[in-house]
Amino acid sequence: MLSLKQVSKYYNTGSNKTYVLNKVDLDVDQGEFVSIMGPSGSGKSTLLNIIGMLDQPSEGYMYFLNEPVHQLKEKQRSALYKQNIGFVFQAYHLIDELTVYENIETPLLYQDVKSAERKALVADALDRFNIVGKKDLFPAQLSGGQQQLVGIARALISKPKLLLADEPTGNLNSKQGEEIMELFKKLNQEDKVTIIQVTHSEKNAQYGSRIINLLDGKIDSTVIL
Amino acid sequence: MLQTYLKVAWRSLKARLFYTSLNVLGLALAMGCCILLYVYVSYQLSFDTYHRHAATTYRIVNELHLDKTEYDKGSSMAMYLAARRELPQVVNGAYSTSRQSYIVTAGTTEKKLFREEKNIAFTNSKWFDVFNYQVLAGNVQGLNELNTAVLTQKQAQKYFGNTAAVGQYIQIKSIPMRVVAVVADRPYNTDQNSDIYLSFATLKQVDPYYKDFTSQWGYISSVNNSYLTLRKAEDKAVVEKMLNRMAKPYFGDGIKYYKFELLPLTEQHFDLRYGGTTQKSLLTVLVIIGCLILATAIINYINLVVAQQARRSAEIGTRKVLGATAGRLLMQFVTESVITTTVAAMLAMGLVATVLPVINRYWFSAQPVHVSSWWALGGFTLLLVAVINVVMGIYPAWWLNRFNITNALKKQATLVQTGLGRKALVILQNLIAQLLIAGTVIIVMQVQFLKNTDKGFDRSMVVNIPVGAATDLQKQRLLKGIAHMPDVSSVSFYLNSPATDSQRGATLQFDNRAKWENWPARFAIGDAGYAKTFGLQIIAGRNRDSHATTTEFLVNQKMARMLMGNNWPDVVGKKLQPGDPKGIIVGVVKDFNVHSLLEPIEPTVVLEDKGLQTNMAVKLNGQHTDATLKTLQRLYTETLPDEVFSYRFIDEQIANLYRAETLQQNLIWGAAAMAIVISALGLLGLVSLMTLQRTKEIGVRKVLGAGVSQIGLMLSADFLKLVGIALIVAIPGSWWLMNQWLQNYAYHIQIHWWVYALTGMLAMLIAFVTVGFQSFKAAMANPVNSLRSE
Ligand SMILES: Nc1ncnc2c1ncn2[C@@H]1O[C@H](COP(=O)(O)OP(=O)(O)OP(=O)(O)O)[C@@H](O)[C@H]1O
Ligand SMILES: [Mg+2]
Repeated sequence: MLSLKQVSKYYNTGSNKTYVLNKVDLDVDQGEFVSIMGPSGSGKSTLLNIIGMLDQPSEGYMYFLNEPVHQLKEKQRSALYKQNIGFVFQAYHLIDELTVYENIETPLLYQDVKSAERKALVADALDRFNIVGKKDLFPAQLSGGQQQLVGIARALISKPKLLLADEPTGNLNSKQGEEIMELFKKLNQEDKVTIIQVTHSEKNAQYGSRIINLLDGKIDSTVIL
Repeated sequence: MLQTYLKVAWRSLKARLFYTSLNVLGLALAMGCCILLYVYVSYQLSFDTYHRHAATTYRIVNELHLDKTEYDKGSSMAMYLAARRELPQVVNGAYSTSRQSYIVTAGTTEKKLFREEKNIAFTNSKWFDVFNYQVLAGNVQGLNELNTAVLTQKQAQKYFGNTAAVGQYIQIKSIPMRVVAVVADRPYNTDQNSDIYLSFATLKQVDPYYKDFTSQWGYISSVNNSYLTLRKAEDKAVVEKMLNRMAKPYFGDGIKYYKFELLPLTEQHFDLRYGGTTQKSLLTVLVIIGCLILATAIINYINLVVAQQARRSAEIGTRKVLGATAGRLLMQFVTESVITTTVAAMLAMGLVATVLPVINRYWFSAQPVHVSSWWALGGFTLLLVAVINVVMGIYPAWWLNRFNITNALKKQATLVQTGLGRKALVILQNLIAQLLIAGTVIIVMQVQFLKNTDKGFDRSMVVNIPVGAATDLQKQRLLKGIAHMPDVSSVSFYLNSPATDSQRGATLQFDNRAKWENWPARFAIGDAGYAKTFGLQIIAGRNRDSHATTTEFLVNQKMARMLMGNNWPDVVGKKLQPGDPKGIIVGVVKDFNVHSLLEPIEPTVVLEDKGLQTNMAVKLNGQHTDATLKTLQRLYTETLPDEVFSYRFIDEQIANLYRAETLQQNLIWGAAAMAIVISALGLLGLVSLMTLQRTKEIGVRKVLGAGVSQIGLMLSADFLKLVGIALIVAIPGSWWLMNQWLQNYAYHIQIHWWVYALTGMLAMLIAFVTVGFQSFKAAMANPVNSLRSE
């Protein structure tokens, strides 16, 4: 589903280049659940952002669903990712001014989904994540775990094939984190959503089917579980 | 989608109610100013544009090239008639002799006397053909007959109440005139100034003085109005040439001094040379000031948007991740600004509706401003809202386009880069405010100077009372009566006070010189009591003698110098012929101003002309003024049963001369106040945001031992520095601009350094009060709280 070839990312610091990612090759198949680990500053978030097309590589090629992403125009790229990729953040990034319901609905608005269909989809999601009672609350009125749940519901609302999560449990206590991981596992196994997550927790990494260790912008080792 | 935009915009505006209020308030004030200025400017521009052929109608005016060029808006009827008769380019025209004053007798059952002051015109029905009037009753054609009158509705009401006026009679000098038509009151936006139109044929009867009037080409007077409607505007040059050619035989050699011209009807209101009252340049300045004030408010808005950018960037980043395009994100910003400006526009409208009557009463009392078209005003407001939104949308559009999601979502991106741009905007804003402050100070000083400067005469407690055509006998009786009043120190029958805008004068012949001098002298016309009543100081010779058998003149020092240079006192005893009268100079008075101080002192002759001395000046000693005026009134009504008593203090009349300046002063004062308030609002918002964002830094500094005053000063200093930079730019800018303006005045103040010291101090003070309060509040906060909340 996803293939990175010799992808590098560097920043110009003064006169020399600082490599954050250095010639990374990575293939992810449909239905996989990949955990990315590594010390702070090793380039995990950068890699995830490149996969999610939020950032562009300085060098190298990337194919997503057999499309050469590096050759696509901004518009096509954004269409491709709108339909196929969902994002979950460590800091949740819910929109403060919107209610739970509206936060979940937002991606559908941007995809011009009809009102009736939107209602049905959001109602489904609320139901599925057990947050119907919270739908009219604002993010500030929710606990961290609940906020992340909303974040995940929002990421999944447009039925993406790939879910990207950057330290989704980083701000949560271990019990909340466990629940989220269980949810991910269920999504992966029952709904066949491909998942790539970045995590610092050895335990959470174990939920995946493969662990990739990054070190200084390079893939140091891969563990298949 | 629109619903979502509105919902989100509404919530985010509500969430930051403080900043939203600052923005709304600032924009409402600025828009209110712009709307008011629009009302004023569009009102001025609409003057006399509503007549059918306004674009091709011209007034005959002339320039008289003596040593100094004189401009006269009058023309002779003879020229008008010739133009109508002989020039094929002239398709229509109208003539009137206006600004006449008479006592009118009218009434239905009981006849009453009315003093009509300069609102009577002699004309014929053509006048109503060239100019648009709505005829309410009767037929204006009747005005072509002898002894007929057309009244405006207001005037008809005044004379006859609710009785139909047409068919009734009014009387002037015992001559009955039949009212043949009633026309609607003249609209506000016209310089036409008559309410009573008498048939032209009646003029000779009412005033025998006008007997050869229709054939005398030289009879040019500012009350004679000739208007010509041309076939097309391009004919103007030809017609002007023809007018000068046709005049030649009648003026002989003198024609070389004259230049006859056509003044477009629509320019009449703006050409100060020909009696216009509004300078177009003032309108331009007002438009610029309006734009500047608007800019100030827009800068506030943008500054606050920029300052909150950090807070918003996470939201924008998230939305982008969720699939929003830049266009849609911009729509979100635009929706917010549209809501803000719409609310502000409504507030502004309310503001204008409340303020307009007030400023009409206090500022424009002489010439109230009226909304010429509510539709146009609505359109202007919409346009204003649109323009503001486009300008305010530029920054977010630019920002969203170069928006980097990954940076925005990273924590460290929320640190604000103190933009150079924002500093520049704050400086610009302060610059505008300071230019206006300095401008206000200087204009106020100049106007005070104009009003209070020693004009060489004493005008306090001098009352002017018109006596009309009082006979010599009646005047004697008045004098005798006044002699018994202890609180009157002197009296004079005269025409014009030492400071007026009337322009009587003539060229003159001095001593035994063969040639006439090639400069004209102004006339101050009054009897022997003139010098005493107006406090003129005699510095050589003596005052005129009221019992003299020969004609005696006083001249001012300027004129004496022009005649004899340094031997000026020697003019006393010499012969003088100013215009027609011949006589002897008996004294020289200290220079005084016949005109307002806009013009330099001119050579002036004080002389007697009994027929023209239709006013009485009474100098009071300042005690029992009310009682004295009452006694005067009693004496007046007994002596002059055919006249109507009215009085006015000369001081007021003089203040009237500086109406334009006083108006400018008020307008710029208002504008400066607005600019200050708006920029202070902006500063308030900005500084509260800044301190909010620096809460943690402040906390850390306090923990490290910084004192409250140190932190307070640190926070304020940033802003005060910007105010200082603005001042540095404001000084030379305003120096140049204001000196330019002062050049309009023959007598003007010098701009002293302390004007800018004052401006700077004022600006600093305002900034410090605004910024200081917030800064010290932040500095005083307990650091434990601010650090914990992070
Ligand atoms: N705009 C930038 N300019 C220069 N260097 C950058 C920039 N953005 C990121 N970096 C650097 O890239 C490196 C990798 O960053 P990245 O956020 O991918 O690390 P990470 O592995 O996700 O770390 P963490 O576990 O702390 O989240 C860091 O050393 C960071 O300093
Ligand atoms: Mg990271």
